[in-house]
Amino acid sequence: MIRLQKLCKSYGERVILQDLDLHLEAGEFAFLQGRSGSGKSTLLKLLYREQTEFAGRIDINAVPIEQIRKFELRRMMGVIFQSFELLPRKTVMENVALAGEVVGKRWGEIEPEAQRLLARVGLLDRKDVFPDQLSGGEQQRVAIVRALLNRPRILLADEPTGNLDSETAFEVMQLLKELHVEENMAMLIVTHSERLVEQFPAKTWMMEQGRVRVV
Amino acid sequence: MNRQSCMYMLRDAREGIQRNIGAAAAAAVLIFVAVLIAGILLLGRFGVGDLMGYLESQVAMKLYVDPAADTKAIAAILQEKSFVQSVEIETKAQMLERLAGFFAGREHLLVSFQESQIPDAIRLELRDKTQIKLVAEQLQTMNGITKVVYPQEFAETILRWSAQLNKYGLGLLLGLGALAFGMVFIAMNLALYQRQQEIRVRLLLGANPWHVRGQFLFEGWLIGFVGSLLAAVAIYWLFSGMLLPLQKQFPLVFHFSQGLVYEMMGGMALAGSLLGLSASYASTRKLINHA
Repeated sequence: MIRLQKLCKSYGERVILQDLDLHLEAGEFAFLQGRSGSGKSTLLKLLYREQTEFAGRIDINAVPIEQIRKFELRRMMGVIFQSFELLPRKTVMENVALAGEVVGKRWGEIEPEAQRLLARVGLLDRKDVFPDQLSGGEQQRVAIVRALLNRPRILLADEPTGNLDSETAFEVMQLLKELHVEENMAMLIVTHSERLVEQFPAKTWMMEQGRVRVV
Repeated sequence: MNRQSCMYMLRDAREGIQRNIGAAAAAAVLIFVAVLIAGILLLGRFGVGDLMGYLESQVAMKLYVDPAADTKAIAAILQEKSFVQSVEIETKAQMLERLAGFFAGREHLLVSFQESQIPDAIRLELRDKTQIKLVAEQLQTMNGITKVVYPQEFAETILRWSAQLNKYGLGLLLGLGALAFGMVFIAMNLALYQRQQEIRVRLLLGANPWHVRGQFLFEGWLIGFVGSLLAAVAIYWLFSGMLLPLQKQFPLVFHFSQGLVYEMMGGMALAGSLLGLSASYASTRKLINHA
């Protein structure tokens, strides 16, 4: 599904990623762990092409990433951020529906799927409130629903529990693990939290000084 | 882009303009003023064109006679000339009688004419309108004639004024057009700044960058269209309120075409729309480059 070969990335003289070789299979769940500044987020940005310059090779479904149009690549992926990235002027439902709208889905298709997923994460009764009326954990659950709405085959999560207290972080991680099984998608979770990795045993790559090793 | 995407884009554009209503309204007003001036200049051109055509088609001229000279004798000499079709003497009394109709209800203005030393005049009609300037120049040198007035003389003056008006009007139009372009550009940049998080999220969710840009292009077009449509309506109001009555009063002079005015209104709406669209296109270049 995702294959990195000899991936290198640097900003000027500063090397961020060095000869990375990774392989994430379809339906696989993996952590990418490392300290702040170790290059985890840069790797994710390369995967969803917020950054485009690199050396080496990234293949998505055996196709070099640069041959896939950016928006088509992003439609194959769901992305979750530490800062949730919910739009403050839109309600929970509107935020979730946005994912369907941008790919041109009809409201009739969007609404039942959004309701199903919101019900799944326990937020259906809060679908008409605005993000600032939700707790951090609830906001992240909305962001997860939005990322899953188009049933992507890959979910990338950049520090999804970074802004949450440990109890809420556990709940969100639990939810991601369950959704991974239910929705049958590959998930790559970027985190700096060792505790989280210990709580949810899974394939883990450790990033240190631009290099990666399997833990 | 499917119908559903268009609907979402329309809704988002409406919400976007509402969020940025001040800048959008200012841009629309500037476009309104620029396009209105363009319309007025064009209408003026049509009017001046008709007036010029009318004046140039005239074969008559008026000669003012020295009070010491014998008007009848001069008229008799002129009647003998081969280029003269007809000669008619207009005395002060006849002229005052004619002016009385013009000053009906404002008789106090007529008093100043009654008290002045108005000379006799001879109205001369020529056989060939192309000779009128030459004949006028010759008659100007004739003994007993103080002044020669002929329509083509006015036509030249009007043409001079019209050229000046067009020159300064075009300058003003270009200045306002540039200002309007800049205002739409700023309004769109403001909108991009206000919605940068939304744009980023949309792109990350897999939106086609051209669809995202399309929303802003649509907003720019809408601002331009609304401003220019209002200007086109104002021009129609000017046309029906001022020029049509003028045409009714002087049917031989003015021949405004309703169809031409409709075409002009369409052109104005198109010009305003293009102005808004191009400014928006320029302001969203970075968005597409960095998408």
